[in-house]
Amino acid sequence: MREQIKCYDTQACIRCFACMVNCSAENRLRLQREGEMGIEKSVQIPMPHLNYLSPRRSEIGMYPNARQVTAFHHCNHCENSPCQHICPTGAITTRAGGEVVINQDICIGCQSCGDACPFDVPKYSADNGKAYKCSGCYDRVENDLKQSCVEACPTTAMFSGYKENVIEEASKRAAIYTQKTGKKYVVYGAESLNNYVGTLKWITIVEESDLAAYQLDTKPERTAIQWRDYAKIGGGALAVATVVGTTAHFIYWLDKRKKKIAAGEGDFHE
Amino acid sequence: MSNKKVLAYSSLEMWFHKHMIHFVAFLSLSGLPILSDKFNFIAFAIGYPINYFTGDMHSEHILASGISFLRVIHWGSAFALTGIMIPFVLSMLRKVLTLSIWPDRWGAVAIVDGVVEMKKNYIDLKHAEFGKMNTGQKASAWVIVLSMIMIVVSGYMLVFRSALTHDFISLARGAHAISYIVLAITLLIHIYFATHPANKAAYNAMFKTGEMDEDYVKEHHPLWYRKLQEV
Repeated sequence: MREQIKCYDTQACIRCFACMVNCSAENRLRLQREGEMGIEKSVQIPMPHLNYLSPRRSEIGMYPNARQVTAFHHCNHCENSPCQHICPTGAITTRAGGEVVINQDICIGCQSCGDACPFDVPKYSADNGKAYKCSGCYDRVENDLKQSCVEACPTTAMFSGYKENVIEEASKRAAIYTQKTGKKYVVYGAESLNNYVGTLKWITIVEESDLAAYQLDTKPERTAIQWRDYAKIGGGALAVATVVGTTAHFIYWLDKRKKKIAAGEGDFHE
Repeated sequence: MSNKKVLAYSSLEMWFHKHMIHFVAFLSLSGLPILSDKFNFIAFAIGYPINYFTGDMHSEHILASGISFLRVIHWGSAFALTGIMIPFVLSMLRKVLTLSIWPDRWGAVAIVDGVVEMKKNYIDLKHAEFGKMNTGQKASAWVIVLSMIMIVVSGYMLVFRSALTHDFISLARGAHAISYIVLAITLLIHIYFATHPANKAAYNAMFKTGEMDEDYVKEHHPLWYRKLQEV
């Protein structure tokens, strides 16, 4: 199976939120399909942890140039997936299609994933002690269906497909917007942002000067978690060096003590 | 040869040290599989019997069961350790200015002199001018104290995370792991010297009597001996 990615086009989006509604509905239908919850319950019980796509609306600029911006907060399915690397139980895996998925059967709710995610994505449900985030609708994708958010979009502001095709289309759109508006548009996440996350499998076409307004972090990091990773490597090497050093010292000490006793200098440690 | 004894460790210090060993062992064994997948074998060893009885023998479920159980041990041991720390810390604070962890002399020259004395003892096998603790012991004591404070504070931040921002929690998780790694390396060195045959007298004092022979102190810890004479 080839890697698939999604793209969100901020220019084509009409803020209908159909993507968000369909995502929430799909996650409830998934519970029904998998026999975890009945139809009535899955619709009536509010389950905020299943809202994988949430809008964050803000107003930017000053009158008369003020405008509304709706940033979407969601999992970016990072290439290097820090959440997956820190998960102690291996509950987070990357599927063949590239979706980074939490397996709730194995999740123990330690919330390490949330601590490592620079986008603050995984949500912890206190009701069942598990972490949740967008699964990239991997079950739909692996059955040749589009992701539920993409399926719902009436304006193709959200589209998905094979990585190279999506990046090609996104780059084309960004070039057209740049040409038409005279403002530079970029494809956020198509190129590696840094070593911590790498490229993203949810890319965004956005005006470069609006990156911050759309809450698209150009340097997504969790410095303390990165230090933790370095310390693990350094700590391992130091532990080995310590064991080797102390063993060498003990052998040296035994030999020296033996020689001192043989020379009649007595046992200095007695 | 006199039969006089010198009190090296109080009964509270011996009690705390003994239980500290138990709890640090529990905390290390239960925390290492969460820190790194290199220690997953510990979680598998715990998870296997649990899942054998529940009938769920999928390897990923065994690991999850093991880590879930170890988390309970980790939290329980952490709370218990904090509990026994309270009387110990209060007792130490009462005599904080007279503790052996403070340098006898300050400055770079004093540190170099201390290292030279350590070389004399551990490399040349000659009597050195040691106090109750040598420079290396003092340095490791400070590293242990500071890293323990970091571990306790960051650990409680992780437990009571709902009151904190995402950035603080992330910082706490990093600090918890890094300070543990520093502590673990220091403890390896501490354990080596503590169980070294050359330090049998100190080992026996800590784990058995709390006392050391005055003659031994006079010969091996002359600075300490002179301080005791002054008192």
